[in-house]
Amino acid sequence: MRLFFYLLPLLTFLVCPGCREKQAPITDRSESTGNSLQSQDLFRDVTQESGLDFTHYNGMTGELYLPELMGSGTVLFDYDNDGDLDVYLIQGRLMGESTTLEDSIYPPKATPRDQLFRNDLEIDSNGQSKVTFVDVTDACGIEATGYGMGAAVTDFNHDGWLDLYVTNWGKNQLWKNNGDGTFSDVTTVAGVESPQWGTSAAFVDINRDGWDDLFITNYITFGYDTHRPCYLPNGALGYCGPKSGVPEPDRLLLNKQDGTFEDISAVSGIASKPEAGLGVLVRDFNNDSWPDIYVANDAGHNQLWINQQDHTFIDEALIRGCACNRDGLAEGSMGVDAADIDGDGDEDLVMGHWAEETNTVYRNLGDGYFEDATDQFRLGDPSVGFTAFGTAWFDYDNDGWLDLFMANGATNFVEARQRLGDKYPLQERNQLFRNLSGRSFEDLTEVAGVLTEPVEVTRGASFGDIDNDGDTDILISNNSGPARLYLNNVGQNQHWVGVTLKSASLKSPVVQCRVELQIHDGQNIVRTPRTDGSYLSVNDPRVIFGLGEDSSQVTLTVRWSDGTIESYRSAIDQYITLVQGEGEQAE
Amino acid sequence: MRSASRLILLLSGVLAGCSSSSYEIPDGVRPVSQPALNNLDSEAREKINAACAALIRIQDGQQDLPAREQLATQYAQAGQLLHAYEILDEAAICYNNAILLDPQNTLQWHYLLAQLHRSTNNKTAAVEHLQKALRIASLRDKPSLELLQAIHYYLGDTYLSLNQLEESQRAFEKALELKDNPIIHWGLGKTAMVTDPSSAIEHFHSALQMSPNASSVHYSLMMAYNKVGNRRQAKIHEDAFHRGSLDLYLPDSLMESVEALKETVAALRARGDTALFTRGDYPTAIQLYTAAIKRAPEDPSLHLNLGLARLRMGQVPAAKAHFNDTLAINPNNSRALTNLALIALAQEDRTTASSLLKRAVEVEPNNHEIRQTFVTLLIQSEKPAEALPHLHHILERSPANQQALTGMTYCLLATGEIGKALQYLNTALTLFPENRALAYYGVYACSWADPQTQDLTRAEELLEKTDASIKIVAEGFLLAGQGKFEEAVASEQRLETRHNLAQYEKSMPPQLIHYDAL
Repeated sequence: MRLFFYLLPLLTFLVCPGCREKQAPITDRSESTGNSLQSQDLFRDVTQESGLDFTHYNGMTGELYLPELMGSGTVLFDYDNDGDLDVYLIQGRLMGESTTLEDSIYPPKATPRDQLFRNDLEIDSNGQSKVTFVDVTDACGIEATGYGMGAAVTDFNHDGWLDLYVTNWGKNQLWKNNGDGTFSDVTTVAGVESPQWGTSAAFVDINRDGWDDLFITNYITFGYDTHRPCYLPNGALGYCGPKSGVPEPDRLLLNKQDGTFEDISAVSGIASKPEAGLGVLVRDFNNDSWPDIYVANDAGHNQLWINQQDHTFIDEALIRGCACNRDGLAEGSMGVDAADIDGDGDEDLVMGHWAEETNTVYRNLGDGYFEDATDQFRLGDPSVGFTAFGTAWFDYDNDGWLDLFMANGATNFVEARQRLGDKYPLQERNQLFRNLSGRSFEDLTEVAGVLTEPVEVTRGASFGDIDNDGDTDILISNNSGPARLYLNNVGQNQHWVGVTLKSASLKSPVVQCRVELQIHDGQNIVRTPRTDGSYLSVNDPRVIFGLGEDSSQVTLTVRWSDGTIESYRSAIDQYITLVQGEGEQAE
Repeated sequence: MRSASRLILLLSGVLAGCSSSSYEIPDGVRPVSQPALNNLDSEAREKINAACAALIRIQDGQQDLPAREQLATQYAQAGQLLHAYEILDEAAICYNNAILLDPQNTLQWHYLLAQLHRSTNNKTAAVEHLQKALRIASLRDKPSLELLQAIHYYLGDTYLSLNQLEESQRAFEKALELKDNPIIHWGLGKTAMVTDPSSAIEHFHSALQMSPNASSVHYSLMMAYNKVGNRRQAKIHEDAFHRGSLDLYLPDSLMESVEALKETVAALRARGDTALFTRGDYPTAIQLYTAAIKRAPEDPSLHLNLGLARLRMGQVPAAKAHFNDTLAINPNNSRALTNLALIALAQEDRTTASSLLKRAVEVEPNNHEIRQTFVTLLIQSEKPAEALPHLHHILERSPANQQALTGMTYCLLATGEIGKALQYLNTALTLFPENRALAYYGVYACSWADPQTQDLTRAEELLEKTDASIKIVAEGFLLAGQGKFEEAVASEQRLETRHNLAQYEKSMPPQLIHYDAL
C-alpha cells in the first residue's frame, strides 16, 4: 500500500515503451511481424455479449478471513466433446460461523454457486466465429459445497469424457462426467476426499501406466476458532499471511484404474515437506521421460519433486536453483508456468509474487538446473508493486515467441483506495509482456488496451482458443468481481498450427508430451500441451504454434510419454490431431 | 491527488510574503500537507500531526518564517518521521524541501531519499540521489566512512537489480576499498555470476571467510558451482545453506535512526518479534513488548509474547502471569494454554498440564504441534490408547509426519496392535530409514508379530540400525522372539537397568519400553 503514491509516476516510467532502453537489433521473427498495434487491437472483452454472467462472491463480512482473499480459479474444458472449450467458474461462500448473506459487505446477486457454461460456438461461412455461452449449471447436477478454490480436469476413468476435480477450503469434490451433460459426485467412492485447504491441483500419470493420478496442492490450516487479527507495519488491521497457519502437506493419489484412488502421499515422500502451496505444474524437467512436479509455495521454498520412477519423489528444487530467488530468499509464490521462452528447447519457469518482491523467471540451463534470470529478461522491475496470481507463457501474437500475462491483485489494502471508502481496496492492473526473440521482454501493459485497462482484483486465469480461430484467448476471475473473457484479435492474423494429442485408445486429449515443430529454415519450436499451471485454473489442452509469416508446411515431432518418438507432416492455419501410433517413427 | 502546482504557488507566495526573516524560497519547494493517518495509533498520529502542523502553520503564514537552515532541519525531521511510518510521498517532499532550502547540508537527505526510492522501486531516482550523495561526500574533508560505504554499496546493489553489471561492479569495488565487509564480496559475486561464475565463486568464498555461516552466500555458491558443473561442491553448499543462520549486514546508522522513530504497536511488536524470535535478545524483546502493551493493553498476542520472552529468560512466575493475562483477555488462546501446560509439565504437574492441553487441542484442533505435545504427555503418562485418536488426527492431515508416525507405531505396539503398527512402521521406515527409534520399534514388531507376519530376518536387519544400550534391549526382543530366552536373559543382564529380565526368565514376551525412556 505504501507504493501507491509512487505507482503512478513509476508506472509512467516503467511501462512506456518509448522510455525504455532500445533493444538490440532484431532480425528474426519477432520483428518480422511488423506489428504496430493500437491499444484497442490486441484483445476484446466479450464477457457480456457471450453470456458469461458470473460474479465471484468472496463472502467477506469485515472480519478479514484469509480464504476470502484467495479468489478462485477458472476452468476451460470441453465437457461435451463438441470441439470447443466450455467454461467452469468457481465460487466462494459466505464467511463466518453465524452470519447470513445480509452480513456480506458485497451481497451476492443470487445464491452463490459454481457455474458451468456450455460454449455454443458458431462459425459462419466467412470463418467468423461467434462465442455464445449457455449457463447449464442447473442441468449439469454439480452442487459444489465448499468454499471454492481451484480445479483440475482429466478423464480419470477412461470413459471418454472429461471429469472435474474441484478444490475447496473444506472437502474437495470429484465430479464424474456422465457423458450426457450431467455430472455425479464420486468423491467418496473414488477416495479423493481431502480435508485440507486445497488450492491448485493437477492430474499427472506418475507411473506411466496410462491412468492419470492426482496431485493436490494444499495451503495452511485455517479455522474460525483460530482466526486472529493481523496488523500491517503501520499498525492498520490487515489480512493475515501464510505464516498465520500451519502449512498443510500436499497429497498424491494413485489412480487404481477402477474408478478409485489410493493415497500415497506419505510413501511417495510428497507429504514429508509441508509448505503453503498455491500453484502446481507437471513437466519432465530432467528429460528422463518421467513427469516431475513443481509446486509454487507461498513464503516457503518452492519444490521440484523429481520422479524416482518407483512411485516416490525427491524434492530437488534447492540444488536445482528454483526454490528461491537469487539471494536465497523464499518468495510468496502464487501462479506458475513453464515453457521454452528463449528457444533453446527446454522449459523455463515463471511465477507471480507479492508486490514487495519481483516476479521470478528461472531459466532452465538445459538439464533441469535453473538460474534466476528475472533481471536479464527485464521482468523484475515492472513487476514490483504488483501481486501476481494467474499467469502463463503464451504467444499472443503468434510470432513464435512466448509472451507473458500476469493477473494481478493486491493481498493487503491499497491505502489510497481505502481512504476513498473502498471496502475491498486490492485492485491492480493486469500486465502483458512481449517476448523480444527470447532475449528480453517489453512491457505492453500501457498499449494492451482492454486486456490491461481494468483495475480489479484478478486471481485465476486460463488460456486457450475459445473461438477456435487459431490464437490464445484469456479467461480471468476477479475476486469479488466479474469473470472476464478476452478474445484475441491479433494472433489469427499470423500463420499457426494447432495441435491436439491423442492416444490410440482414448478419446480425451493427451497432455505433458513434448512437441517439436520444425520449420523449413531449420528452426525449431518446442511446446508442451498442458492443462495445469497458472493459479487454481485449467488451460486448453491443445497447443498453438505461432508461425509468424511463415506459410510452408511443417513437421511435428512428438515424444510420447512412453518414450516413443513420432513425426507428422501438417498444413498450417488449422488444428491437427496427432494420434500416437499413426506418425512416422523417428529417432 | 491534490493540485501540486496550485499549492506550490501558494507556498512560494506565503513564505516569501510573510517572512520576518525574509528570503526567497527556492523553486521546487513544495508544501507538505497533513496526511490521512486513520490507520495509525493515536500516539503516532499525534507525533506526525504535530510535525506536519508546525510546517503547515509556517506554510500558511500563521507562524513566522524561521531561518532558512532551521526550516530545512524542520522539514528533514518531519521527513524522517514520515519516512519511518511509510508515508513516503510526504516524506519525499520534506527531504526535497530540506535539500533545496539548505544546499550546504544535503548529504544525508539525498541518502535517505535514495533509500526511500529504493523501497518504492524507483531505481533511477535512487541512483540519482545516491550519485548526488556521493558527489557531496567526496567534497567533504572527512565524510563518514560508514555512510560513504553504504552509498557505494547501495549504488552497486541498485545497478545490479537494473542489470547494469559494470556499474554495479565498480560501485561494489569502491565500497570494498573503504572497509572489508562480507556483504560487499557477496554483491561482487552476484555481479560476476552472469558472465564469470568462476570469479563469482572467488568473491563468494571471500565473503564466507568473514562470515562462514551466511546462508545467503552458501546459496550463491551452490548456484555458482552448479553453473560451472561442479555438482559435488554445489551439494556441499546446499547442505551448508540449510545449516546456515546468519544474514549479512551493512552498518547503516542513518536508516536505523529513521527506523527507531517508529513507535506504533505494530512496529514495537515487529521489533519485539525480531528480538525474541530472530536475535534471541530477550531483554530488548521484553522492553519492546512492555512498551507496546502500554499502548494496546487488550492485545493478547503482546502478553503472550512477553510471556515467552520471560520464559526464555527463566522468569517462570512472571511468564506464567503473562500467559494468564493472555487468557484473561482471550480464554481460548491455545498458545497461552500450551505454554501454561508446558510450565505445569516442567513442575511435574501432569494433571494440570493434561487439562490445559486438552483445552488447547479443542480450541485449535488442526494445530499439530499442540496435539503432538498432548500426545507426548499421554505417552509419558502411559496412556498410549488415549494418544491413538490424536495420532490418527495428525496423520490424517499430515501422513508423513515423522514424530506422529513414530508415536503411532509405539502406541499401537504398546496396545498390542502389532499388525497395524507394522503398517505405519513400513511407511515410516520408507520415509525415514535412518530413524533409530523406528528401527528399535521395528525389531520388537518383527520379532513379536503373529506367526504369519513375524519377520526375524528383518528384525535382525533393523537391529543393526540401533546402537548402544538400546541395541542390547532390542537384541533381547529378537532373541526372545526366536525363543532363545536364555540368551535373552544373558543379553538383558548386560544392561544397567533391566526392563525385561523377569519376563525373559519366565519365557514371557518382553515389555516394550518407550524409546525416549531408555
